[in-house]
Amino acid sequence: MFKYEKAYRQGEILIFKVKSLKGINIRGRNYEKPRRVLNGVIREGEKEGHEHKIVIRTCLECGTKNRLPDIIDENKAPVCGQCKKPLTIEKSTATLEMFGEETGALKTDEPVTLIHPEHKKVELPKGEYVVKVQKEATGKNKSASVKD
Amino acid sequence: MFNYYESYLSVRGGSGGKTFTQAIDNGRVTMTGTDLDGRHFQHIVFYQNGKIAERKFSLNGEMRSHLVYGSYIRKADGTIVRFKKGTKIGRHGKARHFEDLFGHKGVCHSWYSNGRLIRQKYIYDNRITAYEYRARKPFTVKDYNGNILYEITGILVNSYSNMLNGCHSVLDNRMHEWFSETAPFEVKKKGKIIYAGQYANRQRVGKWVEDGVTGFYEHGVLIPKTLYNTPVEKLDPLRILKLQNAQLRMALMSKITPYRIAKCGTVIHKEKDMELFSIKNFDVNILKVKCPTTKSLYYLRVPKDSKKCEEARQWTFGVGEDLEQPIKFAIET
Repeated sequence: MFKYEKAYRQGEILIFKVKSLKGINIRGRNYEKPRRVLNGVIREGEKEGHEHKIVIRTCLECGTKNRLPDIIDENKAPVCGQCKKPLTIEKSTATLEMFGEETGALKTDEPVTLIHPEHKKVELPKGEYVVKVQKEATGKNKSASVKD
Repeated sequence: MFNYYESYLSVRGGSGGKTFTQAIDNGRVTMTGTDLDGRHFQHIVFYQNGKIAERKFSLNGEMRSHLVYGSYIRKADGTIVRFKKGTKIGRHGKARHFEDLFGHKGVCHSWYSNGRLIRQKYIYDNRITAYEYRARKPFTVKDYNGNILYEITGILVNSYSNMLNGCHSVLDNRMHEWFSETAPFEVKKKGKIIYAGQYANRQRVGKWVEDGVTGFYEHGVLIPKTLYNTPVEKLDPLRILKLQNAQLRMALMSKITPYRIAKCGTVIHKEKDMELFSIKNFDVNILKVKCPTTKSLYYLRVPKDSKKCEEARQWTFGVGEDLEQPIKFAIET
């Protein structure tokens, strides 16, 4: 169990802003070694480009503060409007770690945005977050994360 | 704060958020300073008869855009968009841009109406026309030697961004970035369809061809050909509800009428857009929910002992397991 300050949802992805990730058991049922996700992809989609992805807004190359569209174009990774460099979280202050497929932790010292080609963007202020995936029942007392 | 029809200058900010307003009929406003990124800017706005007539914008001493309403806009890369005579406002007009297409130099002419691309023509430096696109009409694309490369049907991407981002040839992108989502499109190469498809509500629907391979889509989800071609009355909702993939379930269930879905089981609770179904000989209950963005209906499997829609929905978020209280989302998309 954990307490959160604010909750966000984009499709099957749930993001909880927490005061601190310390002391929260977010490893989930299927504990795996944390996997640092450099490209910010929380969950791959069935189709190429249909992923839930964390991106930065301020370009690390030229410092431009970008305003991302509500829904990004399919197969089009967001780039800086000024210098056209990709807005990936790699090399930024944001770190995303996933524990298996269902849970993760996001820490960021700058505002980031969660994007997907079918859902509107979710803007996340700087802070620490617990990432979870919506689940559904697969039988009596059995459940699995929603697959899409 | 400026806009074309405003003959007022409003300055907001400063101590206590005070605002002052100055009416301008004829004159000029010059703003200089550094922006949030530390770059020196200069923005000059000329007023004539209470309307903005001209704007000049420079960053770090470099001219970024010079707009004379009703005449032209000149951008930093040298692109000039000339407005149709007499239109005064808006982005009607023609642009000319020197650039490469398929590895050969040439010039791209673009015509716009209200900022939307309505016509585009690309001519290689050997004077062979690569293509001439006129809104909605099929056209052919030729290579540098004048041989036909593609036969195209559809509407090219006509969003405002083409004009704002340098008036480039739309075909100087990857093929899946060529077309607008508003109409079906098709690309033929040597008489064979290599790329075709259509969208509805930003999602792929119907038959698609990519790199010559055919796929079938429903609500943006790739579904097997046999299922796509199966008459709706032969689709078994109970079999579909057992599918592991939630999107595939949503896509196939969308083909079935609500009347047939309702016949599968009994609705034990209704709340807003949600319905909770109990189905005989099924290990789980089914919760029908609506996606706030795509408005697609999803059928989620929830525990058999669920009694209320919201309670079942909260269970899918982990309430009762990782979280004690029902979740109130600040944003749901």
